[in-house]
Amino acid sequence: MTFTADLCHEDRTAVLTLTGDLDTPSAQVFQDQMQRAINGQPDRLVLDLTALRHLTSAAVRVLVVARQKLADEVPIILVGAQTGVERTIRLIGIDRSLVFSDARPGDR
Amino acid sequence: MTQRMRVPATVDSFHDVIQFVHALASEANLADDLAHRLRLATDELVTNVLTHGYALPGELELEGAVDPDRVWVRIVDTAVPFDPTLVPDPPDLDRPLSERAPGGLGLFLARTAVDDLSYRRCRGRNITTITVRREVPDLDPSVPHHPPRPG
Repeated sequence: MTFTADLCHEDRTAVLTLTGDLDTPSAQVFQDQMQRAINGQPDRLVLDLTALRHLTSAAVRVLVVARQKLADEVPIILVGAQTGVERTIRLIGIDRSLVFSDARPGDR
Repeated sequence: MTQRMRVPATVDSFHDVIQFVHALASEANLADDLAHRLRLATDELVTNVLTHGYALPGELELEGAVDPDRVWVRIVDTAVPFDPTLVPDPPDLDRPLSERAPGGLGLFLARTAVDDLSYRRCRGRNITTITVRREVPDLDPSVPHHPPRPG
């Protein structure tokens, strides 16, 4: 399934919406959009994973680098991770440096 | 029946590799989580070959089959000898992200995603096999069960 990464800003929140399969060939797209999000110096970074079906270590590397580039007080919030995606993230132990949520901040 | 596919060892072949695994998972009627694990391990192992294996253009051969109790995928390449079962786990899994090295996670994920990962080197080829056990439904004892014939 084709991967897409759409970035938008809501006030001081950067929202990156990921869809499809995030694997080795598509990791560069994710990395580029993540860098754009970081460049905007957001107060928080939200990754909407609701429509993300698959994630590999190539994507995890991007998350690790993003966490290291962002200031400590800027949270990375993962919204709507499907079971397989969340399992991969937790297996690697990076879940302790991220925030999981069922809904985007501000959604009712 | 064993399925086989041979592709150039380039990132352009990735889609074909994934389709191969999808077809096996579909044939086996794997649950989503098991199909995801099979694909994840294949992703990581193939990525490793494409990224680190070949200095010159090479090929990648995939084999796979659905057995009554398992699904397996075999990745065969003629790159430099490399045993993915001998690579130690990343040493910093318990550290916060700010203190971690970004790489070295792919083979760890591959090993932990599947029920078995084995490797052998034979006639100049790396042969890596991953296996996921199928969840075989309980059989109705009132219905005669005939196991599949070998071969």
